Amino acid sequence: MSEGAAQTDIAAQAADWTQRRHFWNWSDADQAQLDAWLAQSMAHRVAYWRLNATVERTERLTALKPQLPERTPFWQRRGWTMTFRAVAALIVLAAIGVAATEYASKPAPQVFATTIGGREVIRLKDGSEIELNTDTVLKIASGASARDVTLEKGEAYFQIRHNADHPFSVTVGDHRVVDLGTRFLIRKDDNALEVSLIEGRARFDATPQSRVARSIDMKPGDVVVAKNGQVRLTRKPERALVSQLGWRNGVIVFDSTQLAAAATEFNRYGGKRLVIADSAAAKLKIEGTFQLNNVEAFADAVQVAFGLHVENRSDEIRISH
Amino acid sequence: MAETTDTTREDAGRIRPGAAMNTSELEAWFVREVLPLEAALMQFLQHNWRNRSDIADLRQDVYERVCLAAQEQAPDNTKAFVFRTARNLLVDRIRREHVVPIEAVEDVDALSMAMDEPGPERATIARDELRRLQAALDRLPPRAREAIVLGRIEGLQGNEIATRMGITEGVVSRHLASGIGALADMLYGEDAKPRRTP
Repeated sequence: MSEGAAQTDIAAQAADWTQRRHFWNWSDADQAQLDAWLAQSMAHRVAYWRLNATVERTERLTALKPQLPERTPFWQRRGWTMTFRAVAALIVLAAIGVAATEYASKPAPQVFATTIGGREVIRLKDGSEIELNTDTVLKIASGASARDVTLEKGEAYFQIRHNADHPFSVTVGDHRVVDLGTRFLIRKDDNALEVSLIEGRARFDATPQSRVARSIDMKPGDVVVAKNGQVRLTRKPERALVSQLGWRNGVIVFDSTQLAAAATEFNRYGGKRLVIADSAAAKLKIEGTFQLNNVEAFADAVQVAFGLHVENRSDEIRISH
Repeated sequence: MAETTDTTREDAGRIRPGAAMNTSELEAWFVREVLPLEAALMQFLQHNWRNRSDIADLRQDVYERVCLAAQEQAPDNTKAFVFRTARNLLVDRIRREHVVPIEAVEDVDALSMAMDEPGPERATIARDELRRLQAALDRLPPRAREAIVLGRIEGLQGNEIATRMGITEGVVSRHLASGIGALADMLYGEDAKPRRTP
């Protein structure tokens, strides 16, 4: 059995292996050395397993962190700048901190729109919050029916205070989501609608005007996808759901995502257009957390990970073999 | 979308009590079943051992003993086994070093029973983990935190972290290593803080 001093040394060595393994270039030779060190004793193994598990825990959780470290002040980030230019009048109100609560109290239906790369939080009088992702249009009805909103396009995350007398409802095309006290995410692309329920309960059904007849009572983890007139109910683990919300923290989370799909995600946010130029590269799968406004960093990572060719042009980044 | 839930995946990987384990099974078992006991184990050790500077080493000794035994034969009750091992270790040390009377070591069965409260639901754990990780990161020394955040969130490699922070690669390595060690102590060794509503 190891003595105290030996355990302390082992802990230090295990920490060094762990940081090398996770933060530096890692070759087969490095792995062989690590394997040899691990094979020497159980004390080595348990010390390394413990620290390795710690880093893996942070990997999995980084995307979910409520605040990113602020390298650039938020008003200088690309998305914000564009949003703010577009709605200059709101800057003043937001700056003095009163705009948010007043948004929904005006008489006419209000339209909230984010530009490509933009993001915005709408706070309703009842304490509910709606967070808009890039390139999104949301309408909020006025007055007493302020709890009726329409998502025209894009993606929005809802945290709704339940009120049995005034159910909160979101209309998206032919469909409608009525909350029963809940947090949910709705994303509307050109040809598909996806509703993910994070917490609470909600009902997914058709608008009174539409002919689609399916009504679904959603439980947390449920994901409803409506596409080409078909409505499908699936489930996702919490981890996947929370990954989908990475944009709220300024990141995109990929979990075994093909490069083609990853490029589509990045391109939602503007910036340089990412083009995967050959079909073999498009099928490579990647995993990790990336800042959504830093497509260059993503391209660098792909270059390092797969040895792909990255061509950084003035208007786009092309990735190929 | 063909996702499975975490629960099914975990059940599939469960080890039969009494069976021998290979190295990767042992690692998975250790991470899944032993590490979550660390906060309670640290409490037990701190309660029963005066010299605080020995605690981390004692913990590693417990893990080593537990895994050496478990690779031959998986225990049917991990928690009871870990605490029995911890007690035996302390008793061995006391005999050898003549430091404290043997009675000073509490009755481990009573203790582990008392700690055997049901954990929160898995879903709650996942949500609380975010807050925990954030809190742990915030408590790291600033340079260690910066290095880990640059690596994890911005995906920088060690040499890029060095450039960004304006320090040598060797210093980056030390910050990362100490940061990882401190995170492990906080994430495994400390009780999860009670949840606060905002």
